[in-house]
This record gives sequence, C-alpha cells and structure tokens, in this order.
Amino acid sequence: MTLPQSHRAAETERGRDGWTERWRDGAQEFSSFLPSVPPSFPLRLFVSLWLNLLAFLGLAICANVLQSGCRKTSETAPDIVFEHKVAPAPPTKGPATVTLKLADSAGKPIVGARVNLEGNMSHPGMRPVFSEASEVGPGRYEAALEFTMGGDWVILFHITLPDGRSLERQIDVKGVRSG
Amino acid sequence: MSKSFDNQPGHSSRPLAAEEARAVDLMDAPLLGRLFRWRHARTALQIPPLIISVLMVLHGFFGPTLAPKNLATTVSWVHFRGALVFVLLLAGNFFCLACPFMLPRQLARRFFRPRYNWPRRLRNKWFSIALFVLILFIYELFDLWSSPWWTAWLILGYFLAILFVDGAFKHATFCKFVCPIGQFNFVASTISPLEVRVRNQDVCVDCRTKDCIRGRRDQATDTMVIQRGCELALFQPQKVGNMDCTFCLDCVHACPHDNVGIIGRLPASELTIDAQRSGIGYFSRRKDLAALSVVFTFGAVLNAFGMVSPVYAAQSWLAGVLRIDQEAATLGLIFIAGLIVEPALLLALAGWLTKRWGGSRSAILPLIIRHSYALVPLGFGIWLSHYGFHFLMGLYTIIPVFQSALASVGWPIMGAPMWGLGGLPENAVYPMEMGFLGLGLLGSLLVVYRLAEEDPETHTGKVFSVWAGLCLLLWGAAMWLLSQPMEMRGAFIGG
Repeated sequence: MTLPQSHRAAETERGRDGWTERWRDGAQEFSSFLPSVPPSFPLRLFVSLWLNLLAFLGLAICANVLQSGCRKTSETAPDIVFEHKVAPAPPTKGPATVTLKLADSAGKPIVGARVNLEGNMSHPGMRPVFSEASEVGPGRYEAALEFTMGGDWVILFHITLPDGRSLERQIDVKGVRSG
Repeated sequence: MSKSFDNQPGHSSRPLAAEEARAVDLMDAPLLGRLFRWRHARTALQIPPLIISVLMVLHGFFGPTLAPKNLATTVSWVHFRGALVFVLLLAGNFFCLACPFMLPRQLARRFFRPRYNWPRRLRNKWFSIALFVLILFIYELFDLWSSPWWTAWLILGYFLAILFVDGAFKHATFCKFVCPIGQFNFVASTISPLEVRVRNQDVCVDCRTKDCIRGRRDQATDTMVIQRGCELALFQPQKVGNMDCTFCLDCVHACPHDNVGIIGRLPASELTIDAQRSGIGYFSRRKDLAALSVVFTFGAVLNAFGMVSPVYAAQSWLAGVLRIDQEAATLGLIFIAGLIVEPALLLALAGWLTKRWGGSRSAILPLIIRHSYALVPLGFGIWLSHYGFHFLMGLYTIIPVFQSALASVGWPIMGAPMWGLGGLPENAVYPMEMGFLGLGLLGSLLVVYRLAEEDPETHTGKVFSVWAGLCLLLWGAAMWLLSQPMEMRGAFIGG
C-alpha cells in the first residue's frame, strides 16, 4: 500500500532528511514575524545579539546597584581575631564539636559574645543544621553540630559582640567522610 | 486510493482507532484544553520560567556565593532537574514547551531572519551528544552545584548559544541538533504517558494543505505564514512517538481540522516500534540515536557515581597509579571508562551472545543499535532516582532562598527567610528511589522482551536473557550506588 499522493508530496517537499528541501524557499517561513524592510543579515544578527546582551547586562547592573543600596553589612567588627577548630579531624558524618576563640586586636579574649552557627552543605537542597555556642572559657566558645551527610560543608558563624556589634564568619569544612 | 493508514510503515504498530477514541486527550480537558488551544499558550507558559531564569542569573552573579542560599544553584540543580524528571514521568515533554530560552530567540527573529540551513553533516545527534557529555563533565569538574557564579554563566551561555544558533540557522536547529537538555528530554519522553499526535488519520488523508508542517498560510498570498508548522520537521500523520517533539503545539494550532491532540499512550511502547518516523527515520538505522540512548543510560550511572564516596577512592587511586595530579585528567579517564569503554564492552558482549547463543542472523552492530533503546527506561529510572532524591530532600529549600533574594533587594514580601526548611525525610525518600529504579528496570525488561519476540528466527528466551542480564547488571550497579552514603565533594584528588 502506498502513501496518499498528497502525503507523498509533503514528504518529498520535506526532503530525505526532513530538513532542507521543504524550506528551500527559506525565509518565507518567518515572513510574518519580520519588519518589512530588513537590513543586511550580518548587521541584524549583530544588532540582535548585542541588544539581548545589553538588556541582560543592564538588568544585572540595576540589580547590583539595588542590592548594594539595600545591603546592610553585618561586618562591623573587622578588628576581631577569629580562630576555629572542628573535631573530629578529619571530620566524619555525625556529631562534631566546633570550638571558637574570639579576641580583640590586642589579643585580649572577648567574653560574653553570642555565637550562633549554621552548617550548610556545599550542594543546595540539603537541610541546614543550626547550633548555639556556649562560652566554656574566657573568649572560648564551643558548639555541638551534627554533620548529617558526608561531603563538603560550610559553617557560618553569626556573632554578636558584647558591645552590640555583629560580625559573620564563614569556614569551609571539606570532605566530611560518610563514616 | 485507500484512506487507511493502518498498514503504513509509520502506523503499523499504532493503537487501533477504537483504542485511540478511548485514549485520554489533554486537549479535551476542561481548562487545559482551552489553554493549549490558545495561540499564545506557549508564550504565556514561557514567561514565568523566563522571569525565574533572569532572577537566577542575577542572583548567581550578584547574590550570595553560598550555593544553598542562591537561586541559581538551588533552582537549577535541585528543583528544575527534579521537576523535569517528574513531569516527564507523569505527563510528557512540557518543559520544552515552556522553555524560557525560546522567548529571546523569538524576539530576536523579529529583527532578523535566519539565512542558513544547519550543515548536512551535523544533522544528527552526535554534536548534541558531545555537548551533553561535556555538560556532565564540567558539572563534575567545576562542581557546578556549588558555584552560583558558574551556574549563572551556564544559563547565560545557553541564552547566547540559542541566539547565535537560531539567529543564523533556520527552523528549530538548536532544539533538534544542539540542545543537550532537549536531547535528554527527547529520550526521556519516550517513556512519557502523553504524546502529541493526530486524533484521526482519516482526516489527514483528506487534508490538502498539510498545515501541521508547512504552517498555516495567508490564503491570499500562500506565502505569508500566519501560524508556524512543525519547526522540527515532524509531519504529524507520519510522526511516531515523542522523539524530537518539543510539545511546542505549533502543529495543534496550525491544523485547520483540530485533529492534533495530546493523547495518552502506553509509556515506552514507542521503543518497541521500528516504524519509519517522520523527521527521524528508523530507530534501527540511527546510530546516533542509539548512542544517545546509551549515553543517556550510562551517563545516569556515571552522574550518580559522581556523588558517592567510591568515586573519590577511584580517582585518588587513578591519580596515584598514573602519577597524575590534574583532576581533569583523572575525571576524563573515568568518563572515558564509564561512557565509552564500559558500554562498548557490555553491548558488544550482549550483541555477540545474541548472535551466537540467541541464533540471530543479523550483524552485531544492528543488534546493538536495536536493543540499546531498551535501556532507556532503566536509564530514566536512574535519573529519576538521583534527581528525585535531591528534589524531594530539598523540596522546601526554595522558599527561604526566594525570601532571602527578595529581602536582599529591599522587597521582603515573603517574610524573613525560614532557613530551617528542608524537605522529605531521607527514610521516606530512599524507598521511593528504589521504587523508581525498579520501575525503570521493569520498563526495560518489557521492552527487551518485545524486541526479543520481534525476530522469529531467534530464540526469544535466550535473547531476552542476554539483554535482561545487561539490564539487571546496570540496575544492580545503580542500586549499589544509590544505597551508598552520599558524599557530595568538590575536590577529588587527595580529598
């Protein structure tokens, strides 16, 4: 049994690979979407690409300006000395202890700070873990944190100093073993 | 001239007319039908993803550098991928329908018309397979999941690539021959329960205008296209299955007889059919499509391998043995082993056994090509398990990221970020993962059995055993991988 003539014609028109011949007359296909007097092809291509790129960059710059204008930096204590330790080392999945030492620029321990920890995996979509550190010695703070999965972790420290200033620190804990 | 198409190559395995009449047609659904018939449906569906994409790019460049707090990484690597596989499983290739990359392309085509045809040598899937592998490779090499900046560049690069390719070349060149995500969707949608196809073949026999492919033209001039036909060269009456179909609905809108629907079917059934497909040809003669199916399946295993601890041990071992300290080199070797050497050996062995033990008279390469499509359901099951894991585990993490993004630009309409939100518990997700794998295996086994039955000269049981054995091997590997504790690490060597 053969194809109906009209279908065969359509198939032939489409060509062996279904791509070229059907549109041999080419540009008519898109004529309804086009301005009536098009400039030369390379110019149109150039203009179009640049228009799109400029639109993107424009949006990006606007957002950056907005973001910069609205951002409230929490980094109000750049003179603080920050030391940390994560145990066990190397880190493994399960409970871990994060120890933190805070001192001022003269090396004097900072007593009475409030330290909150937030642990995130480097892969998005994983539930973060939170903890609050307690002061176990002058300027020495300790927090229990649960590494719920093996992989790369990032720990954020949200610190409020006794004088009300706040700062944030971030440390990477690479390669937490699964066990 | 007969008006029946039942004996045509493209339709010999189609459901009977009575079955077609009973099949679900989304175009008949009360609200969805009206939406999909609306001429601007696709544009309307593309606008929200475009807005989200722009936000992702901006947040990727200028937002937090920590991936879990950034829209670019969270949406791309958790929610987009997860939602994509679930929509493919439950419906069809609707993500291509709503593809946001197409809107700037449409806008660009208002300013210029593409002039060139895509080079004949590239009118196949080899180039897109290479890009697909490249994306898998750079995903692992540059830890894209943990880098909002690189993720934003990837999205932006995608927009620019489309503008360039579809700006220079006619029709949907990018979708058909370039887009790696599109190729993933085309292969995966072969297991989808919905397909864009004609409702009644008899109507097409009497059709004179063939608008579904030529486009609906202005009656006065017959040159002005007022509604595009299929840009991917799929002629509806001869179209079989979802391969290369972007669900763009151009054929639905172009058909003057309202004879194209989004119709229900048996998932994966098209993999058992070797009919001549419009715009594609025969599956059994397409080495590139077979290679795409193989890369799709073994790539799923490799991608899952990249997130568990044995990969780090393997890479460290390779680095030590070969005295290499470049991650790209060891990762490249793993990719070559996983995507070329391993599939080549396993498929060659299965093909050889099919010929020698199963009694096939066919040459080994055609046997491999024909049966490689049977791996697709299993491959999809692995992707589904992997992406479903991330999606379900991080289901609600998108909420605080959006809250944070809005708050950072001084518009906290969603309130303070609730960073404690996660997703489903791991003990609930794990059984689902195993279920998806089992579903994929079952699909592959059914396809393998149908293919084994196909050749009357072969021993069905033996041929089935050979390819079922391959499927079971891959399924076992995937089960083992996904039962390993996840260890998403950036640094391989020495890590």
